[in-house]
Amino acid sequence: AGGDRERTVPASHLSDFMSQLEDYTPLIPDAVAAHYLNMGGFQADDKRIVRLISIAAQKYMSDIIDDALQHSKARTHMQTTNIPGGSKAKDRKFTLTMEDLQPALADYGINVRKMDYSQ
Amino acid sequence: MDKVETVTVPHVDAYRRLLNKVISQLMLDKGAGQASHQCLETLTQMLQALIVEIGNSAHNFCELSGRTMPTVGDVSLALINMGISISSLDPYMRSEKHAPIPLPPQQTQQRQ
Repeated sequence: AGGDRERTVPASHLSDFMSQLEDYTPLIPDAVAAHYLNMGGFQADDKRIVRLISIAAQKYMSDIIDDALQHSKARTHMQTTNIPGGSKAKDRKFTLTMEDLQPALADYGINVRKMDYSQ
Repeated sequence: MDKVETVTVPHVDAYRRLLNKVISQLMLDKGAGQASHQCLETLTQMLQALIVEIGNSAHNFCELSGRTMPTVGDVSLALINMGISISSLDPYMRSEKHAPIPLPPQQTQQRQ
């Protein structure tokens, strides 16, 4: 009986979370997520299941972008400390480039490599 | 002010263009005002592949247990199997409030 109770604790938490998904709209529109899920053979009637996947994907990408920006900030900071007149970097807009995305993705175990012949 | 180049994506399907918008919105929220085209395209491709892969994995877990309609359990198994923690989604959902991206106006098909 004790084991059963332990098992219901995370399940009830997940069901709480699922009920919250009812009135939360993720950044990815439901129709778009459903279309790409269909490409993987997945077909669900419940809108909440699609939203759960949308939020999971959104968070994953958000974390990667966050990491890439951290790399970018660290790199520009290094450059401005080395160059003597580069104190104007504070009001500079951050630009995300492959140079920063590549090490961020490497932390996730994803190897991105530009082909030698590509521009 | 330097001129902002308008990015035109001519022959890309509508779903893909919306994913492009999603990534752009995420980057704007994080404070990246600009991004290289290659970077944006890489992230869009990653998002597309991730959604397809989660769908495929959840579908496989569903069929493994002899069902055709996937349940929340199948999806959570798929997410855990891919190393995405479900418990971190709840705080993320609370902290991030985004304006949802509106769907493009649908073309009405005339019935014959």
